[in-house]
Amino acid sequence: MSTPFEHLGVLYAGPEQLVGAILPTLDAALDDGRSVITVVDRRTTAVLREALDDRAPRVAFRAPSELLRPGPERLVAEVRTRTPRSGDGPVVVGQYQGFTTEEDAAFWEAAATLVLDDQRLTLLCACARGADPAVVEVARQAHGTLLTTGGRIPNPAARTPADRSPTPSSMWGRRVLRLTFRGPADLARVRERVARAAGTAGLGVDRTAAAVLAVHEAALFVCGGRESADECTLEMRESDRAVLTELTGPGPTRHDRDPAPLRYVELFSDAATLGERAGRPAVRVLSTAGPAASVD
Amino acid sequence: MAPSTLLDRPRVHTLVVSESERQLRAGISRWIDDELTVGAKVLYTGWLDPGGTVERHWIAGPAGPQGARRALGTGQLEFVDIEAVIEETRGGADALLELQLGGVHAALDDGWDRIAMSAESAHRPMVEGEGDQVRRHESGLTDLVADAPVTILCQLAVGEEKDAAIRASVGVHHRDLVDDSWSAGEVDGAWLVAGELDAHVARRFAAGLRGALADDASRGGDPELHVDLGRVEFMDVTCVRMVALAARSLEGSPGARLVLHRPSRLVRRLVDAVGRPPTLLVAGEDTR
Repeated sequence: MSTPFEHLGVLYAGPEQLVGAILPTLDAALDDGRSVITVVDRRTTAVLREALDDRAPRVAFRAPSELLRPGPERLVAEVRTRTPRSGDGPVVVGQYQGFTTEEDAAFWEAAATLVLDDQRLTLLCACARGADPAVVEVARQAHGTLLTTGGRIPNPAARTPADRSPTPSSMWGRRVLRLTFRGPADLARVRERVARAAGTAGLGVDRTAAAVLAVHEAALFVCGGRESADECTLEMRESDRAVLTELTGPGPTRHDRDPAPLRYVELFSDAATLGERAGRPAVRVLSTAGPAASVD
Repeated sequence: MAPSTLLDRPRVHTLVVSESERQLRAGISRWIDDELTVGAKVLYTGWLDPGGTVERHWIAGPAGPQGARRALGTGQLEFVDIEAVIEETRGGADALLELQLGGVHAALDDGWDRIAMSAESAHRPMVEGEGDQVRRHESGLTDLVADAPVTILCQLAVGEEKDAAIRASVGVHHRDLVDDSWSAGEVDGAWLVAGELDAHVARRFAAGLRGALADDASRGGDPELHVDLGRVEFMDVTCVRMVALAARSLEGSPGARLVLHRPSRLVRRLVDAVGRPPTLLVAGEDTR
């Protein structure tokens, strides 16, 4: 059985404590033939190389400046390309850097869930306890499990991603569409605008059709499937051959709550999440031009 | 009128459905102008305001057909007060058909070789049994267009009718209907659907689908409805669920099935995701 997506946090006082926490996981991964990628600072790299000894050459040590600037998007892309189609994916160690802002950290953690949680990999996110308190708080809240020198421990302070990331959507690229709607009667207009924007973003015919369907189902969810006195909003942002659409609205009524409300949205998108924005349900739908099992 | 022109053949008994009175009137106006242009005698049944006259009806105004005023004057366009019809026929299908047949024969006797008929939404209360009257009446009209040079355009203003009336009307007109975003008709033995099918029109789509199923069942033998989705540009979960539900309703009849033709890849994935009952087949995958 292949490894599901694992996303753990590591809070450490210094490089030695960090290496002490992650080393057993890296050793186990190397024993299993999995690849290991680290994106950590020079001092941590040096301590890690020494600890790994003759296994160090099997690890890909990448510089933070290479994969974490200007933001973590390059690391996300690197991880996706290194994840094989079958078998276990890599173990990735990412480290919050001195240049990491609270906003960057929140975006990274939201992106990791949004973009990578269908990947068979283990992601370890390391944050120094002495970093900016706001950044440490992001790291503390982002991970349901923490990795320590004593092993894995549950983290009761963890929160669901959308609660902690009010603005990361703004980092997905330029806004290409913003509109409001009130219910199903407006959705033909919504679909037309979404199709135009997604097509312009370079998604291609099939992916655009899938994106339109996914956003349509998300729109139906946020308006509760009925005409609403409250306006629902849709905002679409475009980056390199990808669009992220965020929709908010009053949501479904209490007695028609569905335990898996986004299953059709997920089926036709690369990723979808449900969170909250200003007390209202907020759905994010990521659609890309890349391969996705749901359409191809 | 609706954006989709589904069928590449003359439309002889069509239901036009619209949620917008303005859009509906625009479509009716175009249709009347077309019929007047080809020399048809147009019989239009509509509602007058209390104490009103046809000159004050929208059909004779700026929103109406361009040729309406002249045609009303020459008699090529004849307005029939719907209230008078209801009073005379008491809503009975047979009486209404007889009245309409009388109008057609009178026009033919006057030398018209083509007759076009249209009636505004009847605002039916849809009491018990009235659905049967609707079906009888529309069935009679279908027989009429088969035997005489008559074109019929029935109107359904969604905002003015009860849900039951909408379902009944759409169901009986499944062979040729034009809605705001979708249309349907019977072509080469299949129910051909076109346009965009989403949650907003799902109930009407379901009514049309049930009408097609009922029609198929009425021919005897195991119901086998073929639905051609080749011109469907968009279909959402709600409408796919309607198809699955309709297929499930056949499960009590051995041999009964609903066969989908030419669904897009996306629709096929959606059908599989929603769940396919054994009575729902996709042509080419499940059928020989």
